[in-house]
Amino acid sequence: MKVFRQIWTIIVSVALLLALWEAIVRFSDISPALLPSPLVVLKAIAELCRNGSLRQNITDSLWRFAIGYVLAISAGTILGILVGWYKSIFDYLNPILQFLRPIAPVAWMPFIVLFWGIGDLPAIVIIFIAAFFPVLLTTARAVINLDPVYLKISANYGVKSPSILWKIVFPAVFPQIANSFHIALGSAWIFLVSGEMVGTQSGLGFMIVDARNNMRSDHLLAAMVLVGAIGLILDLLIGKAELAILKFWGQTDVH
Amino acid sequence: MYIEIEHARKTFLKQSGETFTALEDVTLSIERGEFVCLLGASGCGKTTLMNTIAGFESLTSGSIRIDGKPVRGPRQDYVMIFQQYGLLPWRSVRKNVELGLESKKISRAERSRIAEEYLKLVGLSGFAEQYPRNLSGGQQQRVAIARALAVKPEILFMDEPFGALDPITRCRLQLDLQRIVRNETHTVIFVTHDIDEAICLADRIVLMEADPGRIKNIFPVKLNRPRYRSSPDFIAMRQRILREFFPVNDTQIEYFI
Repeated sequence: MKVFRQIWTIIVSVALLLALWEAIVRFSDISPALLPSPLVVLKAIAELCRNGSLRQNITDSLWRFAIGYVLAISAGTILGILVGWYKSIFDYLNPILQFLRPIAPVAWMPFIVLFWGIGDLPAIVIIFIAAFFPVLLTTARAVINLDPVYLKISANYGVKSPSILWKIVFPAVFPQIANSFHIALGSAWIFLVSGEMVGTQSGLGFMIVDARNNMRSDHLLAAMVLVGAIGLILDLLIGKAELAILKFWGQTDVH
Repeated sequence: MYIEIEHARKTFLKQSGETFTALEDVTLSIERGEFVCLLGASGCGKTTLMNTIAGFESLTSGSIRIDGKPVRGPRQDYVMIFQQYGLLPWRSVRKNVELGLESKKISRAERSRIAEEYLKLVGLSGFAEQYPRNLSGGQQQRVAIARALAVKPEILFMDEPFGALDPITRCRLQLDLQRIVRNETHTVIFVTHDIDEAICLADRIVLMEADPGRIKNIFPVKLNRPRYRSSPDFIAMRQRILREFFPVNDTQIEYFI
């Protein structure tokens, strides 16, 4: 019953959006060349599917995203645990992190291009930067706020440093880490497009730049729709994984 | 004496800047194998006292010796059981019980055997491969007890271990705990604010009072085991303790939660 209602609300909200879009196209003075209707965009997607360029772009994007994201969450988790555990490091590092964090990942772009040139790397680095900070900070905070009972148990049952880090600390804060993976996925996906707008010759971000250069607003919207749809699917998947983790840890009532 | 606490004093600095005296001049001796209940209302320093004996907190002044040696920090042979069980949710029941055995030189098969043995002792034989999330509060506390006993500790510290359980489960665990610790002959220090629980379990009840936290009185409990709440001796004992808390209108109090 709940599932049906969920599906129903999704259908209605998507239909509303499409109807609004269609209405704007029909009843405004905007030229169809500038704002194509949903149907035209759908046709554009179909066309891009047929000539194979869409598949290539999506695969390239997902590859870059996977590499940047996995590197970021691995590094963020490991460093977060170390920094949280040795709290004096965190105290010194935190001001620097707080200073770097508000700098948008794309602001690094000129430097990245200067250092590593163009190609896949700038996009991967942007995704890395976007995903790294939320994971690092959330993990460090979770370790700092670790329930002291775990430390007492470790002392009583002979779990010593450093094995306490992977035996007790990491699993104890894993639900919070999983939550940061979820948040990081969203923000990293947002920056995928900007990362691919400079210097790459494929990917969803490139599709957008390419469509702009060719004045193909239907392709432009097609790429945007796909970025949104894939982001939504990725978010749903990681949300499910996160819920499963919470359930395993017996923390479902937290939500 | 096995455990000797002399003029123990513990103060905290509150956030407002005032000092709070959690323990004031506490002197107490505990024999090996004795079951001692620290009984008192919230804020009387009973948990602080136990944490200092267990080595989780240090004293401001005074001394605590166990077996002649001053306490310098937590140890593997003095194990604590907590109100919120402190199980590791990502480990199965068996792996939880094995936790303390992993740092000792014990083979995998032997660890597993010991875990089974202690799970049987606490009445959870069939639950070894379950996870804590699937267990009731009472069962989780039984797992925590099995885990503590599996390392054969010299002292068992219990910090309001049954405080989060419903009264019926609590009674059952009190009866089982009497049986279990009698067989294992540990020294047990048990913190509670439940008078009946203290009478039910203790060889000696240390009554504590707040502001500042101190010992008010000590009662030896010389009742036969198992102890039942309805026996006349039990009721008389309860009256004696209640009189300590409410010295004036002692005749009016018939029930205490």
